[in-house]
Amino acid sequence: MKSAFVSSFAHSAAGRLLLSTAAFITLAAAFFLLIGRSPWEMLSLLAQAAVGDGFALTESLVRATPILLCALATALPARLGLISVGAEGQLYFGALVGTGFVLSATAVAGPLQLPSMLLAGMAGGAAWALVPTLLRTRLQINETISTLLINYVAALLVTWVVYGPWKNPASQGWPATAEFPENARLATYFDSRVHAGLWIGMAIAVVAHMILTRTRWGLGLDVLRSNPRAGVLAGLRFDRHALAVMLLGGALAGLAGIAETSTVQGRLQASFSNGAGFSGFLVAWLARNHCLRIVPMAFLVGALLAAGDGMQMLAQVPSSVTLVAQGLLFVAVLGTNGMLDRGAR
Amino acid sequence: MKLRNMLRSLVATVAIAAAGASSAQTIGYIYVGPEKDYGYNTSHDLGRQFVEKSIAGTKTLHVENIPETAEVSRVMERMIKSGASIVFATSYGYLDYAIELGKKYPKVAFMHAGGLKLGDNVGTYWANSDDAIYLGGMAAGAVSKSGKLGFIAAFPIPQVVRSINAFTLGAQAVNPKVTTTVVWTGGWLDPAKEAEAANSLIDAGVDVIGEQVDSPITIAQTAEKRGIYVVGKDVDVAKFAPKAVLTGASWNWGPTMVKVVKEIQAGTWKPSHIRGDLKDGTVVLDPFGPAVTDTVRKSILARKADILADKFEVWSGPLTRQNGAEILPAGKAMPMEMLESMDFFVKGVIGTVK
Repeated sequence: MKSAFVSSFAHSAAGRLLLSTAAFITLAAAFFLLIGRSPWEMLSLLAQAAVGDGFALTESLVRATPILLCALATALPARLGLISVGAEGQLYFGALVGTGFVLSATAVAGPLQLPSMLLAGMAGGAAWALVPTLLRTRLQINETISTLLINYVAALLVTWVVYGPWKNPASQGWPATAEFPENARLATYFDSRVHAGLWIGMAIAVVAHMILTRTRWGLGLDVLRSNPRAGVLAGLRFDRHALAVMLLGGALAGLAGIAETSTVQGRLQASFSNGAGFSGFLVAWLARNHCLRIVPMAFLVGALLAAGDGMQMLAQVPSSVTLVAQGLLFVAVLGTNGMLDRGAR
Repeated sequence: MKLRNMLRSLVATVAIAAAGASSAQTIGYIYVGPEKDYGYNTSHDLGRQFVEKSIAGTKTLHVENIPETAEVSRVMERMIKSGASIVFATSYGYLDYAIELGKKYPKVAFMHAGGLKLGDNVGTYWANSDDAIYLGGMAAGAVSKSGKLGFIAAFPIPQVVRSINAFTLGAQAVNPKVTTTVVWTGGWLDPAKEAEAANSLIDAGVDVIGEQVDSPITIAQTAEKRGIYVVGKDVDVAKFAPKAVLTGASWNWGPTMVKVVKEIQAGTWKPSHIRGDLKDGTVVLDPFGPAVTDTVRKSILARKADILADKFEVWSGPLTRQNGAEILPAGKAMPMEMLESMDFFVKGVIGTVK
C-alpha cells in the first residue's frame, strides 16, 4: 500500500518536479564540492541571483518569456509526433518581418501599430515554419534536420540586414536597426522589463492545453501520433494537421521574436536571441510537451539562465561554472524522468 | 539544530550582501569575453585589479562573457542593485544600453570603452595604440630575414586598418623593402582560425607576424612552436612565448580608471571622451624579447623618445597607397577625419580592405 502510494506520487507532476529538483540540488552540490566551494553557500547564492529579490524575480520572468513561447512552439508539433527544432529560426524570422513592418509601414501609426506589428511577427514565424512543413509533407524530408538547418539561415538573414540595408546610420557603425517607436513596444510592468508577452504566453499555454486535451482536433493529433494508420482510416489527414501545428508553432516563436526585439532589445540586432529557441526546445521536452507544465519549467530555466551573471558576481566564479550548473539542471530533469518512465514500464 | 544553523548562515550571507550594498565605493566591470583571455578583456581586468589596489576601501564586481545585447542591461542593473555606483562597460556594443540605463539611474556613473556618444552620466575612455604598434613594426622589420611580414586581424574597421598601416610603416622605417600580408579571421576570438592563419603565413615565408584580434596568445604560441616571431597587442604574453615575442603594444588602463574613479568619488567628474596614448602611458611598449638586438633596441627607443617629444609623427607624409597613389605629400600631417575613418592600405601591404 505504502509503496504504491509513494510510486504514484513520484509519477505525478508534482512528484516529478520535486524529485527532479532534489536530483539537481544533489548534482549541483557535488559539483560545487568538487570545485572546492561550499554547496550551501553556492546554492543559496544561486537562489538569491534567480529569485532573491524583486529585481531578480522580474529578470527571471523577462528571460523566461521568449523561452515559454518557443517551448509552446515546440510542443504543438510534438503533439503530432513532429520533432521541430525550428523555434530559434522562427523567432529570428518573426523578429525580422515584424521589424521590417515597423520600419516600412510608418503610415500605420497610433494604436494599430502594435497589434499589426505582432501579427507581422507571427506571420513571419509561421512563414519560416512553412518551408520544413512542406518538405516533410510533400517530399518526406525529416523535419528535425530541416528545421535545425534553416535556423542558421534566419539568424544570418538578420545579421545581414542589420549590417547592411537596415543599419541605423545614427548608430556609429554598430550593426543594429533604428529604435522601435514608443507605441510599437509592449506594455511593461513593476518598473522592470517584464512585458505583456509574459501574460500572452501564459494565456496561450492555457488555451493550447484546452484545445489539445478537450477538443476533437486535439484528439485527432493524439491519434495521428500514436497510431497513424488508425488516424488515416478514421479520415484524418496528416498533412493538414502537420500544416496547422507547424504554422501555429511558428507563429508563437515569431511572436517571441518580435516581442523580445521591440520591447526588451528595443532594436533589431544580430544574435539577440541568446538561444531562446533552443532553450524552448529543452523546456518543451523537460515538460514532456505538456502545455501547462511548460509554464513553470520555462520559468525555472529562464531563472537559471538569468541568474548566471548574478552567480558570477556574488560567488566570484567564472561563467563556465554557471554554465555547468545550467547543464546539470537538464541532466537532472531528463534523467529523473527517464528513470521514472523506465520503472513504470 | 541543523536547520537553525543553516538559517543562521543564510541570514549571515544576506547580511554580508546587504552590507556590501551600502558601500559607496563599489565598482562594476562587465566583459564581453572571458576575463582570462590574455587579451582585450584581461587588459580591462588588470585595470580593475589596479583600481582595487590603488584606492583603499574600493570593492569591485566583475562579470564575464556578457553578449552585446539587452542582456547587458540586466547585468548593469544587478550591479547597481548590489551597490555599484560606477559601472565600467568595456565592450563597444554596450554603449546604447549604458546610456538608456543611465537615464533610470542618474546618480550612477557609467564609463564605456571606445564609444563616441555621451550621456548625462555616461563617459568614455579609449587609447590610441598607433605609436606603439609603429615601434613594434620597427622591431619586426629589423628581425625579419625574409622581408615578409604577416598581420592577422579580425575585421576591416578603421581602428584595425590603422594598426596594419602603422605596423608596416614602422617596419619600412628599418627595411624599406618589407611587405605585410594581411589575413582577416572574421572574428575577435577564434583560436582555430588564428592558428591556421599563422601557419599558412609561416608556410608562405613570413617570419614575423603582427596581430589585432582579441588576444595575441594563440598566434604567439604558434610562432614559438614554428620558430618565428610576433608583435603582440593588448596584453604582454611573453611568458607564454618567451622566444617568439619581440615586443607589443599593451593597454595600461589602471591609471586612467583610477583617475576617473577618484574624480567621480570627489564629485568633480564630468562625462567626456577620455583618450590616452603612448605619451600618457595608457599604451605601453612591451619589454623586448631576446631576438631584438641592442642596436635595434636603441634605434626603437630613440624613435620612441622622438614621438614622446613630438619630434616624430607616424601619420605624416610622404604616404602612398598600395597602388602608388599619393595619400599625403611630404611633411603634411594626416587630418583627423582621414585617420578616424581610414579605409586604405599603405604601399607594402598585401591584401584588401573589405
